[in-house]
Amino acid sequence: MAAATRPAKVNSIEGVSSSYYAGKMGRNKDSLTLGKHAIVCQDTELRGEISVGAGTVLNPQCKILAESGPIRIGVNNIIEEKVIIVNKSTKPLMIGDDNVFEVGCYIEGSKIGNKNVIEAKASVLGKTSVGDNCVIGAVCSTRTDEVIPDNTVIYGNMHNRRVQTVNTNQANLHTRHLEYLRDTLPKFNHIRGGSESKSTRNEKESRDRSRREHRSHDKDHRDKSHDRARDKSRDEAREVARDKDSHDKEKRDTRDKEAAKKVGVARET
Amino acid sequence: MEPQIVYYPRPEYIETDTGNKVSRKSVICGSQNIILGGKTIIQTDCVIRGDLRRTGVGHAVVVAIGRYCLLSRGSIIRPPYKTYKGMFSYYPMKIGDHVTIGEGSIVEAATIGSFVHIGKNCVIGRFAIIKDCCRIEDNTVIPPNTVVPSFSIYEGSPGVCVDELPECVQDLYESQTKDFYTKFQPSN
Amino acid sequence: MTAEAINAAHTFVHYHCSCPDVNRSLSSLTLKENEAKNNDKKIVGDRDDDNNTELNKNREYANTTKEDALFPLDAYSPRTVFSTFALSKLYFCEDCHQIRCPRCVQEEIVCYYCPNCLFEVPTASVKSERNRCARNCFQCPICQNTLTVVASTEPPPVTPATAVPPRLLPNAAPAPSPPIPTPQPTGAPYFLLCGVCRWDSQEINMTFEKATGLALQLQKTEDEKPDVKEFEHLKEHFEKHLRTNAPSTTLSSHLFLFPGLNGFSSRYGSSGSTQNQPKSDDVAPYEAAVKVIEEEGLIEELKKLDNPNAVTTLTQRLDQLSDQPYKVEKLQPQRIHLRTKRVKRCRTCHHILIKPEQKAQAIKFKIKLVALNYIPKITIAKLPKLTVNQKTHVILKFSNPLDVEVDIKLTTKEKDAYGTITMPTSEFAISPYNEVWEYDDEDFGTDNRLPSRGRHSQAASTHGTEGIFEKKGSYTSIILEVTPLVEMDEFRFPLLVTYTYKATIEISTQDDAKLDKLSTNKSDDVDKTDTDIDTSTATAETSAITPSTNADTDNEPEAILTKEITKSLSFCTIIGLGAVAKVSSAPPTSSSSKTPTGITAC
Repeated sequence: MAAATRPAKVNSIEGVSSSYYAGKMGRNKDSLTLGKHAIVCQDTELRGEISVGAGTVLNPQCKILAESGPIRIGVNNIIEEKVIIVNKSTKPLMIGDDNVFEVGCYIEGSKIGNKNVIEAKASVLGKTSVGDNCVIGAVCSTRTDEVIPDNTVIYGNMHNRRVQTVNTNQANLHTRHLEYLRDTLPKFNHIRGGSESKSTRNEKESRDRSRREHRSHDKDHRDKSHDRARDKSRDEAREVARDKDSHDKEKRDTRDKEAAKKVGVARET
Repeated sequence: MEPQIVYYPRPEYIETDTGNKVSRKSVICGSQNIILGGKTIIQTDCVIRGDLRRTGVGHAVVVAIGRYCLLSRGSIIRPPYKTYKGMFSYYPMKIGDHVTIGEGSIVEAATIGSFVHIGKNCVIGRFAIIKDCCRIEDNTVIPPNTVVPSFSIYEGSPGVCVDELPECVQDLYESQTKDFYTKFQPSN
Repeated sequence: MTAEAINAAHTFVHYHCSCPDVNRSLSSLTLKENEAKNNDKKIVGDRDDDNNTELNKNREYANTTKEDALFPLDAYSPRTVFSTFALSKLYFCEDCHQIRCPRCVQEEIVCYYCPNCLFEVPTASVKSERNRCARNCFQCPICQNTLTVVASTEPPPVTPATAVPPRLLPNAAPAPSPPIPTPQPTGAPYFLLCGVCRWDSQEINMTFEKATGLALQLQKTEDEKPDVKEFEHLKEHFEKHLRTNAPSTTLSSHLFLFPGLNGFSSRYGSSGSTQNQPKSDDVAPYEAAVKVIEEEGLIEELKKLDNPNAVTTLTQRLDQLSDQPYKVEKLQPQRIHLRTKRVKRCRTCHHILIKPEQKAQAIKFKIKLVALNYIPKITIAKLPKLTVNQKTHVILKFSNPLDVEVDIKLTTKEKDAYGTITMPTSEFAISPYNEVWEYDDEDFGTDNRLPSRGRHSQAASTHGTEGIFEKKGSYTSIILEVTPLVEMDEFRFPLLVTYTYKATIEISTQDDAKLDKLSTNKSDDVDKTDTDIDTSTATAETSAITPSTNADTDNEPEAILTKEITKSLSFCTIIGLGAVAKVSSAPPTSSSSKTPTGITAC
């Protein structure tokens, strides 16, 4: 409960164009502009000229590829895993505010409005522009180069369309989803945008400590035998985690490695 | 057709004491919140989001996967979220034993029972409940909050029940998943 | 490997069910008797009437050619699709000792439940609920998805909207206005929402006061519909008449409800033809209770439409049982159809084959006689790419589900227009199923399996026969030499499998009479086999009736005897091996390299 209400304490660089990884890509024009409170996980692929608006959250494993022209992402969007947003034209691809790009969707297009939901495995093709408040349903796709008016819903096997009435609950859900992600993602993922400030890390550790206490507290109340069985399997999962961590770490710089180890050990004890 | 032996490069996979085989090329977030039952295979490019945990609880299991499960290439396991009584939270996902999830499928279900086969490129919506002994055909979309009762075959978008599974499906899927596990071997 | 994988998609082993239901069309052809004979592989047992007729039949077959008699099925006939099944779909009746398919079982409903909320509906109320869920489960009128109940006024957010950070990009669209909850036009706080097409019951002004018992809340409006009223009226009118004229008063009136329409018309027809029956004259002229108003100008309106989505689709209309509207606005959410759990019985002996547990959510069965546990399972273990005029080795794996050793005898059509098939071995044994071996398989199986090509010769030591690829655990793999003669999409061939095993049964002394029957049957069989091929008939042999070793049984009035009898069953399978390529498309070098290296020795 406390976690949900706690304001997101994430470092961010305000409007700073970071070119620190441009060299890695071997392309000079790679640039990333991050807005305030924007969260971009380390485990993402960003290429070309990209600006990410304030409060927008990029989950791990998404790809933003500004191949020919820049991609400008507005405020408070959620971009989930395995999403691919690509700009193949020289004109900038403008993405509005409060959109959700669900797992595995594919976006080309010329413009995405506001408050749209692009569901899992959906695709927006060609130079299509999407209005506001639209839903591109799971596995559905637009035609290439069309204009999708506001409030359109594309759904079903035949990619049928209809017009939806405005749903207030979606906006509500979206705001809180963002709050949650801004709070939770930094705890488990490495976040892009420079080094973590001292204060954040300390905060994180203290949070971990409190979580540990919680856990041991819970344990006392639980059935012992049940717990043992659970713990055993949990240990295995952790073992996997540890092995995996060590593998992943190779990619990261040493400072990160140390931090991860510290946290990892703290969690396991 | 008898399934053939599937070889994988030995260094790619981590094998745990209980026989889980997890690809190093998969992305496991928040692994301390994930439980694998044993002899479960997680293949290349899978994503499991164990980091999206429930708000307000101390330690929480986010994703629990049973024995002899198979997460094929590129499948994504992601707990579902909703607001309940004004509180936003992600909720844990439970997957039973002998569950096969096909390539490129996205699962945001609340529960998946045992002896379930999910085909390739499926999307299982948030808070879907798939009971024991079910089959989801390739390219099916199970919308959010759907309940798939036992012995159903679902197909289409949105997925509808197209047929019933035979009574022996439990034995069938059990032997299939065991067989797959035995035949999933390192290449050297 | 990839070629094999593609090929694998089209391969199958389908088992033929001998029941008359699936074979009526076949047997109406010349093969009538042959087929009946071939597929009757009854275990000689409790019914000797059956056996006598069977034997008579069998004698008739002596005249027909062997090939025809063996294969009533034409592997390439499109009809075989309807009489052959995957093994998993078949049942096995222990009493008849016979395969049963989904079409030759009888079903009885044991439980009705809603597939969405999984609540069981008592049989008594199913009819009054019109076979639909009477709780909260509705189907979307637009996309047939399950609807969810949503409160239109969300509880106020825990934190104020201050968390929305200020905008930073100058070139983007204007800043989003903070979400203002739109005031609800209606007072009721709940409505139905579709998660797929976002249809919302507020669109048709349907809202609910409570989040539970929605069907009940809708019941009133549903009952007031003119068509529902009219139906009730009709029912009332004719029910009265039927009750007075019904030949037996024990027939309850509700019998005439839904399926009754059928019986009703036939009743009408018969009474019409026989004029002198006074019954039909009693029908009072019917007057409609409600006048259903026809929509005026519907055609005109439809003409003006330019958006195809404004007209209902056929699926949507057919889901609206009562009025089947053309306009999308008139579509109503429908309650979800109930599903059932069913007992399945053998239609010949009425023994139960499948008995599920009563509870809707239980997946266990009290009785489960599935063919998978009785009949050797055949799988295609190795299938190189087939090429025209090229001899290819195909490996078939036979697994034994029984806990006794089984002897298999195979017969196939050696040559037809499409190809030739030769079996180096047609008789072999499979070891009994053993769970311990299953575990062995798990742990070491792969180590053995990998070089198995090379070591099959030593594995097959028991038989010493060539043509056995591997004999291990509870399975035996054999080699078939297949030479396709034409290029085609799917190469199929029939295979007649006869399996024989010794079963030990316990018989009490009072069953002695039965035993005698068995032995007579045995002698019958013997003389039959003289004239006939021995593959397709069931035999039961008595041997060594031994008193049970348990001393206590001797004191009891009914001594328990164990008796070993030989049981046998033949069934026909169709095996599909996928596409056959032309010679030119696959150069001989590559195809020969495809054949497993180990078997070339055979």
